[in-house]
Amino acid sequence: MSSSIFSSDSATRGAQRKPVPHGLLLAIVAVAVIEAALCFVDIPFDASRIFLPRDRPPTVVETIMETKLQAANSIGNAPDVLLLGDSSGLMGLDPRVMSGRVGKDVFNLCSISLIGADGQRAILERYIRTHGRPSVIVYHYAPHDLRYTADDLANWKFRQSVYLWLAASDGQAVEAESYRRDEFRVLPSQRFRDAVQRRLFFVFDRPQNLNTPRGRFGSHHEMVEQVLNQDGFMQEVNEDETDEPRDLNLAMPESQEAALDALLDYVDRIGVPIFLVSNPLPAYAKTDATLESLRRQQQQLQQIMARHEQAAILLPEQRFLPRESFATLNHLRPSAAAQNSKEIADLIKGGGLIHE
Amino acid sequence: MSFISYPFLVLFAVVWLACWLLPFRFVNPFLLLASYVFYGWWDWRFLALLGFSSVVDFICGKLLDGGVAEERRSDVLAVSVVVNLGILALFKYFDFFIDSFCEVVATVGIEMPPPLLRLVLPIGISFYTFQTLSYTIDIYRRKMSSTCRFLDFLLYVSFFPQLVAGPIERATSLLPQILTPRKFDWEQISSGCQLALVGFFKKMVIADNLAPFIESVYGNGGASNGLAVVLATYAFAIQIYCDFSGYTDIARGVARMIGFELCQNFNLPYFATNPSDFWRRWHISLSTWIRDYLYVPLGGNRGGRFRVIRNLIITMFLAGLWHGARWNFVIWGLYHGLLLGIFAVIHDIRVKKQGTTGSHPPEPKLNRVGFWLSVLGFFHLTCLGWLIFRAESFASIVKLLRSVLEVWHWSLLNIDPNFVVRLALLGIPLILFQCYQFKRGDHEPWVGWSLTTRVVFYVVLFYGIVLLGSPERHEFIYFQF
Repeated sequence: MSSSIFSSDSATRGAQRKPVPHGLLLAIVAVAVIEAALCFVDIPFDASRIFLPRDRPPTVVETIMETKLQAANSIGNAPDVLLLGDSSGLMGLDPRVMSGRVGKDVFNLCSISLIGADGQRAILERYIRTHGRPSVIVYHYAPHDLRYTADDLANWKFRQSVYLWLAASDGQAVEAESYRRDEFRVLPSQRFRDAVQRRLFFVFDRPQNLNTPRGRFGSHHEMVEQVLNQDGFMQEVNEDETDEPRDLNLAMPESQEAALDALLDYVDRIGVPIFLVSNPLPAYAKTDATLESLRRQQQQLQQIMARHEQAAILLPEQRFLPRESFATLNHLRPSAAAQNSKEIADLIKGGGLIHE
Repeated sequence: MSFISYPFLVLFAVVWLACWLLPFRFVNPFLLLASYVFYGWWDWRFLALLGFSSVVDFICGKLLDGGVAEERRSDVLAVSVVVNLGILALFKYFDFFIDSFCEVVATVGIEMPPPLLRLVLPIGISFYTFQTLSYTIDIYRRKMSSTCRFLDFLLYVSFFPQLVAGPIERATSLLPQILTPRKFDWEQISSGCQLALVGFFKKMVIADNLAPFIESVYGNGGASNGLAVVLATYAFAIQIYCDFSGYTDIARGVARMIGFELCQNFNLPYFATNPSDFWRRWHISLSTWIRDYLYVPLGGNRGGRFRVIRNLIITMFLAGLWHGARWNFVIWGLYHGLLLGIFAVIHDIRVKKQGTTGSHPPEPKLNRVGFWLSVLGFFHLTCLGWLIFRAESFASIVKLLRSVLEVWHWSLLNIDPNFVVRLALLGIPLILFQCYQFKRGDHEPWVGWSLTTRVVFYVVLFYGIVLLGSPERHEFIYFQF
């Protein structure tokens, strides 16, 4: 006896003669039609919920990204000196200190390293579109964060979120693009999941989410206010006591080189000088292995600089500072940040780098 | 492998085709292979444990069925029980008891570090241990004969739809289905598909969407305000029902699509009017297992009132412990044992008043108001049990109960409006649908609906799962047991 539908068993054949389940088959047809129709439908996407989720307080990084993207997207006049880069610049360059030294407008547009140089370029492009060109750009980076690979950046999804935010703020992003890339997508309808959940579950904004303190950093609103009042600068509040010698791997992957190259290409095109500044490293990381790795990184950077007429490295010698200057490996404490700001401002002023 | 995963959909598609296209002699070996792939997907090393348990019980079954002299049969059964419960004790309870012992001796000043094994708990071990034990016990009791088909027996223990979270199938029910060729039946396949769809909806849409809110209250160490605890406990009652009965519906639906009929595990449990009724409706395969293999051997309803209450409390203590090696499960079991004991006494008094006789006198009939008041009242007693069950420690139970009892501190502030909306949007339709099922006395009422209504129902369920399924994947609650 066999259980096969091709069986010659009479009982089995008898069962086969039973009517097919019309309800189920019609439901399958209905789903197929709906899915086919949904291929041609899309709805605009609300940019504000990318970094400010409705159902929980935003993280500190999300607050930083939202604040910087808002700054890049708002209409205004370009400063003389625009500070671009990662969180080492966000917390290491105080525009008020620099402005006092150079006597020019300075604005800090630095955000995080997790978006890579191509994410920085996207923000810069938007800033220049809304503000015009600055006289000088200072690109501040943490040497240790240039090691991120293309996979790292793709996995963190911050860069993808930046692109989506910028597109959505132009009304060019649709719900379909917000769908999480890590989820396996089979059906066109799955693109509308977030939108449908929001509407059917009446997801409420929770104002208290934006007022919820996040450890030492305070709430979203407090942080935004602080950053706005300080021309884009944010004070580091952590206090790391690390003092162990540490070998750092600073080699840049090809993807980072290509992204930095593309950023400098753009700056060449708009004709604004750009100066690369490396964040100081802590003295405990000044090991033979770190220095060797640093030499390799500097060679890579010099090769990139050689291809761009507007770009230069402002401080060819890597600075090492005592541990007490650092809150974390990449972040200076406020007093050291003020010192760093003065140093950079003096170099810009002394070198006559700002064209009138 | 979880039901809620793309690999499972692929595996099931292959199994379904194989079940209906392969000649019967290849179907069971293929199902066995698929079941081992399904189980090994989590951790292939535990396949050895599953295999070992199966082999021991296969051999014990053969020996019990005429393989040894009459006076040695109890020894063989003892081997089966000791091996199965020994494995369960080692993996699930060893650390718990050692740790608890060390804590107790520490209170009298003897400090000793607990020699914990920290073994990973094999998924579904409590379910397949009970399933395989029922086989040897039933043969010992001469309720069935042993099977001589080894691979089919392995399939009985490891049958993938119900392997990791039940229903706990008796060999008398599942083995004959395995041994007999299944007949291809569109209606059976269609109804299996519908049942699985309902199960996916319960799990992915209702249970998983409530989970984060419940976690935010219960994961807070009991520091929430009383109203939030009450709402979270109602939500948990819905979550655990939809999670577990959803799993059962998927398991039964999937099994039905390949020609098997698994036992019903839930029968609208929140319509229970008393604890005895509740355990006839909730996790039926476990409650009947413990009734048949634990409660009845302990003496069951025989003997005096005190003896019955003792039997109920011991049985429910062990049923609580079955759920997990944590004191809150033990307390939950004892709580239900106590409820059953109290109910037995009340029932006894009422029956004597009415002058009903017999070994199992029927429960007195309730009028409509009495019925609904009993349902509502017992639902809240069940919820109190769920609070104990869900709390993360004994201290947490105390804190949660205190916050509930301090009614004057209840506050609407700090309650996430999203939680209230979601609880209402998911809970109210579920309650209404269950009332409809209860009124019709039919668990699958959609089968009798008109064609149009059925099509709309399937499409709504499907899009509910696709669009409203929680973006966060929550493992089935009963997997941990």
